[in-house]
Amino acid sequence: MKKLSSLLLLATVSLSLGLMTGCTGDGKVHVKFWHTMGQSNQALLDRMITDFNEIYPDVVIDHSAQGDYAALHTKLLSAIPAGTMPNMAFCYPDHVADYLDINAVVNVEDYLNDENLGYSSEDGALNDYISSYWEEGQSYLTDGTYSVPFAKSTEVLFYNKDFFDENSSLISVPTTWEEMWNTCQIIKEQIMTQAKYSTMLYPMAYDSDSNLFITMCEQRGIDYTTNDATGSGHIVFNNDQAKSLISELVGYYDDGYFATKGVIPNSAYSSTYFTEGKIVMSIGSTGGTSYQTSSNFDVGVVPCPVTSSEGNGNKYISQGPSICFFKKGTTAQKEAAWNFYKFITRSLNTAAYGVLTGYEPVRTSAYELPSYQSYLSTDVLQAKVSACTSTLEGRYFNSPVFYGSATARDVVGEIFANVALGTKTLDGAFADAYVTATAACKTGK
Amino acid sequence: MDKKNKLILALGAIVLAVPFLNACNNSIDYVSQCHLSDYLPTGITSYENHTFLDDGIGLVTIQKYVDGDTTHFLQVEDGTQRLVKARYLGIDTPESTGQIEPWGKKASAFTKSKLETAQTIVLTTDVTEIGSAATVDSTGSRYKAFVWISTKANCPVEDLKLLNLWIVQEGYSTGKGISDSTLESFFTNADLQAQEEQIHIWAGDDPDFYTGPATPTTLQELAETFEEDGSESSFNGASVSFEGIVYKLSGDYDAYLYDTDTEGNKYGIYVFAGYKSYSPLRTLGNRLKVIGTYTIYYGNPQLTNVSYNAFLPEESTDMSIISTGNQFTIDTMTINEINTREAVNMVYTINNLTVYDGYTEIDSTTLVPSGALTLRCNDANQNQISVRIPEDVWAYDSNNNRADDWADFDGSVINITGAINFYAPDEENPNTGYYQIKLCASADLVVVS
Repeated sequence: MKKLSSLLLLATVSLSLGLMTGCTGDGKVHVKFWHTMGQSNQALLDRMITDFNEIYPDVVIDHSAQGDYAALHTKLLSAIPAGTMPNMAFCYPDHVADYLDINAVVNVEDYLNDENLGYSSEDGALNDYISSYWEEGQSYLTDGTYSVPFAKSTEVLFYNKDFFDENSSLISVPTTWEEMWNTCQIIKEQIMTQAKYSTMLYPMAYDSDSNLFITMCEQRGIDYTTNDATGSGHIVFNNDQAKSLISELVGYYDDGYFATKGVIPNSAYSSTYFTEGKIVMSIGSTGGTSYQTSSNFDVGVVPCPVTSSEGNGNKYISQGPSICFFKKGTTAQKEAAWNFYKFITRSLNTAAYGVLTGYEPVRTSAYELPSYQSYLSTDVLQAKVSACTSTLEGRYFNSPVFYGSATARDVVGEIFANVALGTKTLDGAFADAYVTATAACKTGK
Repeated sequence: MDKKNKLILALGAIVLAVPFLNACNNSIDYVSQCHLSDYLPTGITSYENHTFLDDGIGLVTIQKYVDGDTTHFLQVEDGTQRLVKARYLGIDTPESTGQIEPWGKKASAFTKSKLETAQTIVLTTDVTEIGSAATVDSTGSRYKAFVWISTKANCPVEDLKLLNLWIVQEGYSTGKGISDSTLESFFTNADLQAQEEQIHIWAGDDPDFYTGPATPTTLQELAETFEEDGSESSFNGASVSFEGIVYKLSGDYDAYLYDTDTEGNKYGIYVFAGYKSYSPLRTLGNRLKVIGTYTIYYGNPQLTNVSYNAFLPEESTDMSIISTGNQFTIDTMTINEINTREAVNMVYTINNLTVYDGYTEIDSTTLVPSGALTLRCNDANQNQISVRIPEDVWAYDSNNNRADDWADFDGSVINITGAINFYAPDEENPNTGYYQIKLCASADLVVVS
């Protein structure tokens, strides 16, 4: 009986401790990583994990795709209170603001300043990260660095080069918004009227209604969201300048110059109609480059139009997944997660991910790799995009982020479509969006 | 520590452990908690006397099982059947058709098994939109749908089960694309529960998905095995590696490879790149060693699950370049010569075909031409063949205008270079079909008169 009770004690205590700490009994440190990668991107991640394990053989990276960014955000908001969140996850800054609001995110500056966890020569220098990408993680209301860049994207203008070549006497690829609308007018009124172009829908289409609104506001100096001196976030897009902007855009839509995903037939992505030849210019994410590919015509790519050659008018939106770390697990798990992040953003790894996906590498040194330079000179569309965006460093902007700013981003994306399709008045669309966004925010913290 | 205290401690530890152990046994059945009747708008109490396409709710029957998250249904209205290609809302199961992913076949089988036993199948839009017409997804060709089922005929609306949610609860898909839906919390909770319980896709490796080394073979062996049993190869579904020369680019991402045997006979294969641009595969004349999954897709062999990354190469799975700049020729054939199974996946030129009939494909969802055309042609000896122009390859008529109707070629004499495919119009009888030539690039169709 004595032996039995001792064994029982040993077994149950071991079982209890194991279950409580998340240890699976293999004696290794398990890091749970949630992301949104598709199958082929996960295959590349698995290669990085294999290489990582040569340095850290006692760490197991348990990664899983959690659907799209919105689904990942929702699941994390459910998992955090239950304590079932991962150790690290893909994130957008707006989402991190929500996690910060419930005090769930690690400030990685503790790691940066640690003798053992800071950046080693193998990891590359911290200042090797493209500065605007790194600064995004410091843009929260709370001081610190709460997200770090993994792969970045922006928007570019894809165009049907054959179409522009055929009509070069009338049009050229626009570089400013003024040129864009003039070009759209000529295409609509002088070129689409020709029989051979009778199946065309619009000269141009913009994939993301939210990005259109936010980028236009940034380039024109129109208030969208702000942080005030006290560190509070505010919704400020319900203003006359923003209404004037939407009125102007609706006018261009009414003239048949352009459409967005919110108003385009069947809510198709602009890339769908672009590759079908029904539009000639498509503004979309560099992360979706593979969908803009066509063997039926030569695809060109240039930076998005701007409103001026300098200042805010010359800014581009910065997107793409960052990574945040959660206040969960043992110190060993947290440190392993951080070491894994440093590893997967080493020059070669960030370059490899960029080449496969179309996202931009996040390290300056990646662009300087001879193999990456060689890649940029190839005729693959993703390489053309990377060559294009490699010129944009220093011109990216990030909107203020705070609890509820994710909602603001969503609702401003509905304003244009509501007004253009006549489902709401201009004032009504703005008022509804404002009410929804402000209700989602906690201000005056 | 005396015996009594040890026992007390042991019992305490058991008490402590029980909640953790029980966590796996107290699964919540979210499917049984989600009732369509709770979400019907005023004025709609049942699916009867409504149609999915017009009202966002209606009865359907099965037309075709596709995969885990897509099914083709038939809606009957005024005695007329209308095809409804449905993409399930809120889920994204692993691929099981063009691409094959771990758990894809099992997810597809689960969906099919539930539909096969269903006596009542009701499609709805997102529940907040019931009462309005159905809408399509971003591809423009599939309707977004919740699929509600029951094994009972004429099932009352309150007893229907949401198959989309069931698939998530059973761990065959993550919840996805449902952040705006009233039902989001069901999907999120079911998803997180399946993850905690580590079932199916959350359990790790698919035990039936082969991940070991690829079997070395040749295009000759693959072709001969394919021919042996008339429809399927013993390699079907296996991971294989072989060499071949890139000799025709197809569409935006894919390519045809060929290799020769010692007697100079040629054997071809179609390589599906999964919407990724791999530069070695898109460079004519490259001799590659390719590694992937060999599958038979609607009667045609293909290689899927290929990969390549110059920065982090993986010898056991990536394609590799053996040599570059290899010269090749595309043979000119007659209709009779390509009407054989050996010709499948080979690229040939056939000259002087006269277009005498055709078919303009209408997208069943948008009801407008999809861009895909079939041209029925004959040669000088009245031998007949179909030329398939897929929707992602543009063809130009004699006036150099892009053709959107087969009649744009009516009476024309054409030269065409393309890949030989087997086409089975009746999916229930995949061996009953005919050979056709598929256009791979715009410039390969030339109108000569």
